[in-house]
Amino acid sequence: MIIGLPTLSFWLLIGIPSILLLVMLYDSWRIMTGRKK
Amino acid sequence: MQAPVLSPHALGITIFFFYLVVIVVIGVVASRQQKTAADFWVAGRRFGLGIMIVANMAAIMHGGAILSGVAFAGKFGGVAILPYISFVGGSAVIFYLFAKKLRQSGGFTIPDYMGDRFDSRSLRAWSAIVVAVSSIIYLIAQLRGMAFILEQLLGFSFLTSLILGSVIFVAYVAMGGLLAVVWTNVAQFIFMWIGLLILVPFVYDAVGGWTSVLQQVEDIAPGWTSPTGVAWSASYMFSWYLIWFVAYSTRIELVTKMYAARDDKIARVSVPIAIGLILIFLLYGNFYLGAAARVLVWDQIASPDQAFPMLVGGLLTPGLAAIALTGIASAAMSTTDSLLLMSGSAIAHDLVRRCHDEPKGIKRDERHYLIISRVAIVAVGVIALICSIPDFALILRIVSYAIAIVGSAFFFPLLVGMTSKKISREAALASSIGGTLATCVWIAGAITQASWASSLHPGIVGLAVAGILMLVVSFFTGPVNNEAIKKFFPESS
Repeated sequence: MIIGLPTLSFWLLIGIPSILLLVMLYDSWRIMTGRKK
Repeated sequence: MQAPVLSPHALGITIFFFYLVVIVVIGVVASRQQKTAADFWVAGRRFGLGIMIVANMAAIMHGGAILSGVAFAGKFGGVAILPYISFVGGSAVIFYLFAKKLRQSGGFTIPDYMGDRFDSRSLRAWSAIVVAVSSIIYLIAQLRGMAFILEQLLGFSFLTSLILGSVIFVAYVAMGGLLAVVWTNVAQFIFMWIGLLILVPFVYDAVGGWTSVLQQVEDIAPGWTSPTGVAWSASYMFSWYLIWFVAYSTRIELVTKMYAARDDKIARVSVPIAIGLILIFLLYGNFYLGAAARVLVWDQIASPDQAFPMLVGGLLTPGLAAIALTGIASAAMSTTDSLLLMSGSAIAHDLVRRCHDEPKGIKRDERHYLIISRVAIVAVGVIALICSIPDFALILRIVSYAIAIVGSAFFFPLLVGMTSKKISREAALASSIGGTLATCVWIAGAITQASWASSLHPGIVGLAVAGILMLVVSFFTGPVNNEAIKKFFPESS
């Protein structure tokens, strides 16, 4: 349970890098499957 | 609460010596695989994805990652999530811009990149000196940190801990090079995770899950879960994030690992996966445990460094506590080996081979360079050990700025050199040397508490000077020769 915690900006500071990380992981998958050079 | 376990425990000592035997065996086995300098410095470039992920994680997580991480999070609160943006931002730069080109260029070290990309022996030598000096200084601090942890957790004397730890890791690094470093990293991670996982049910029992512990800690220390924590200002936080972003995108231990991957795909893909695993580690190993320490033991400790041992001692039975603490103590050795390898490579590979022997046409066989590499590792290890015996407060203060020196020396030459073909050798030289000197002057000012140096972090000043010099000097100078450019921009040929 991580919803409903004290501050929104606190979760933004975790959320924004998490999104960037997910984008990198998606690109990693594309690199490994040969869809991205 | 039970009494904290800070005294040596027979079970703990036994586990620690078992761990020492394991890593010495790894060193001996890895030494049999060493035939050439490429085997020694980049493990023959044969790391697959799994090993690369562990190698990257070890390059980022320093020796005291848990002890100081819990202390830091417990003390300052939410600000301890600073690594999130900085880690991910820094790794994105390596993932999208550096990893592929570094692996394809086929070098061994950052000075190799600087020398090859800008076709400059001076830049290669300068970079080798920056890497060697900054790594040795950092190594001294890490050795002291490692000895402190062994002293605290296992009950050895400081000097015994220092000598025992140093001799062991100098031995396995000199024997097995990068291969031994990464294999021991795997062993260290296993020991560390055993130590951490033992704690899970006990901490959960005492403070509950995420929401519960964060609400409790917010009640005790208002602001703990805010982004700026209980003590920091927004501007301080921003400059801290910026410095760490640069520090992680130029972290030599991490960038150098790209050379050891089997191919450029594996080099790239290993970066975000390692960062993702580190974030999971930080959420539990630093953040959750930091909050739990703040709730459970904060009023019983004299300094934040005692938070983790006190938490372990308070929640676990003595036997389990000994296992947990020795797991953590074992992991305390995991950064020192990479630093030793880097400073050794700067001397043996960059200065002796690439800057002295090869330009003079001196040809020696690989066995000779393997011996030089091992001698350099032992020499650096002995120097660092001797320097870490006296308590040089000055060195520890300089170390806190070491990331700024490396960042201002390499950030722009790496970033601009990987993205633009137009950048000149002179611009890279001016940026690297000017940025480093400006950082050093500012560090001297900060250490002597000069008023002019108090408002800005030396790293910010160094980066600004490095960036301006690169821009201005490129305006008046032309790109390096085509051969050097082709190596890093093969698609343009």
